[in-house]
Amino acid sequence: MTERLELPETGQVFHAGTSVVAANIWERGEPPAPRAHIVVGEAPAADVTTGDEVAIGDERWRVEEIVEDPVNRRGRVVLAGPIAG
Amino acid sequence: MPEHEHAEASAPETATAAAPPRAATLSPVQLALGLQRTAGNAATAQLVQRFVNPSARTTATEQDDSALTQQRFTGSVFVRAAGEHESGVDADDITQGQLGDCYFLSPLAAAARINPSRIAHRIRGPVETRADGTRVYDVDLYVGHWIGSPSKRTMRVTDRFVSASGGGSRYAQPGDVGATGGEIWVMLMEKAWAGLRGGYDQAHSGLMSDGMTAVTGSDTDWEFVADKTDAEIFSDISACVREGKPVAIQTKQHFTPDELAEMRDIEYNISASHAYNVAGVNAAWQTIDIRNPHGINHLRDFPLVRLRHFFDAYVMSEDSFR
Repeated sequence: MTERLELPETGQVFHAGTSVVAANIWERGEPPAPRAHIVVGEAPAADVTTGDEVAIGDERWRVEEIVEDPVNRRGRVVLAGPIAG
Repeated sequence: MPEHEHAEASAPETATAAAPPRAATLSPVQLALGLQRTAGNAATAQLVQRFVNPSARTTATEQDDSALTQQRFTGSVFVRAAGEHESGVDADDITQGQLGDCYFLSPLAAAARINPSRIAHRIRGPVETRADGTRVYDVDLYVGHWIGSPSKRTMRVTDRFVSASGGGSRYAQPGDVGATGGEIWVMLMEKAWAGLRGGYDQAHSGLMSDGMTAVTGSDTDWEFVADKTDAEIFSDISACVREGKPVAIQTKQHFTPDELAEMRDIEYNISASHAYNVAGVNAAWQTIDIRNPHGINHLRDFPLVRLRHFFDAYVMSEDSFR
C-alpha cells in the first residue's frame, strides 16, 4: 500500500525515526521547474524534482508533488512510497 | 524602545523566518498611521489597547487545540542528562518538528545555552492535575510593545500535544528520556507560544525578534548583513557571545545557483528562510558556530567570509540573559 509523506518547508518530519526535511523549494534549472532539497538525516541534500526518487533508510520514495509558496512560506514536498522492488 | 521595533510590529509575517521592513526612522505616530493604512482600524485599535491597558495582557490563558488529534506525554518536564545543567534545560533538548517556528525555537536555544535556569523558571507546575491524569502548567512568555518594556503573559497549557500520523509529537520533539518518558519542557514552551499566537496554525512563520522577546523578556536589535562589513558582523556577534546576549540569525529567502553550488562545495546543508542560532565564535579561525533548531545539520565552524552568501539578518537581545 502506498503512503504519502508530506514534508512542510523547513519543518522536520520523522519517518521511522529518521529526520526528513524539505528545503529550498523554488523553480530553478533549465528548463525551469519546481525543485527542492530533500535532506535525510545528515546526508548531503538531494536536489529533486517531481518524479525523482529519494532513499529514506532502506526504502525508496518517489517525489509526487512540489509546491512552492514564497508568500506564506508554506511550501511542501509530498513523497509517495515506499516503492516496491 | 528603539524605533525599528515599531516597524517590526507592522511587518507582514510572510516567511518562516520573516524579514522586517527596513523603515527604521519613523516616529510612533507615523508608524501607527502606517499600520492604520495597511492593517485597518481594528488592528490599530488592538495595538493601542496593548499599551494603554497593560492589565489585559497578564492573564493566564488556556490553549484549546481540541480540533487536532492529541496525546498525553507523561514524561517529566525536565530530565537532567549527563553533562547538562542541574535544571535539566539544555539547548540540545530542542528538536523542531513539522511546525515552521524556527524563529521561536532558535532564540529559545540561544537563551537556554546562556542561562538554562532562567528558562526552567519560565515553567511552573503542574498547577493542576485533572481526573484523567492530564497535567496543567503555567508558562511565562513575553510580548514586545511599541512603547514600554515587554510584558509578561502567562499561558496555561496541558501535557497533551498534537500527535503525528505515525505517533509521537507532530511539532517540537521530546528531549532527553527519563524514567517516565521524554522530557517535555520544549513542547510546553512551544505550545504556550502557539497559544499566545492564537493556535499552532498562527505560530507558523514569524519574526525572530518576536521569538527572542518571548523567551528573554528583552527588546531586540535587528541587523542586516548587507549593511555591515564582515568585521562588523563578527564584532557584533562576538560581543553578544561575550556578554551573554542570545543571537538568532536567518538565511536568505532564496539562494542563487552559485550559492547552491557553493553549499555543495562546502558540504553544509543550509535551508533558506530558516532561523538558526549562534552557539559561539572562534576569533582565531574567524568562524561562527551556528546551530539548527532541527537538532541536526548544524553549521559548526561556519566561515565568516561565507556568511553573507547565505544569511541576510540577525537579531540580538538588547540585554544579557545571564
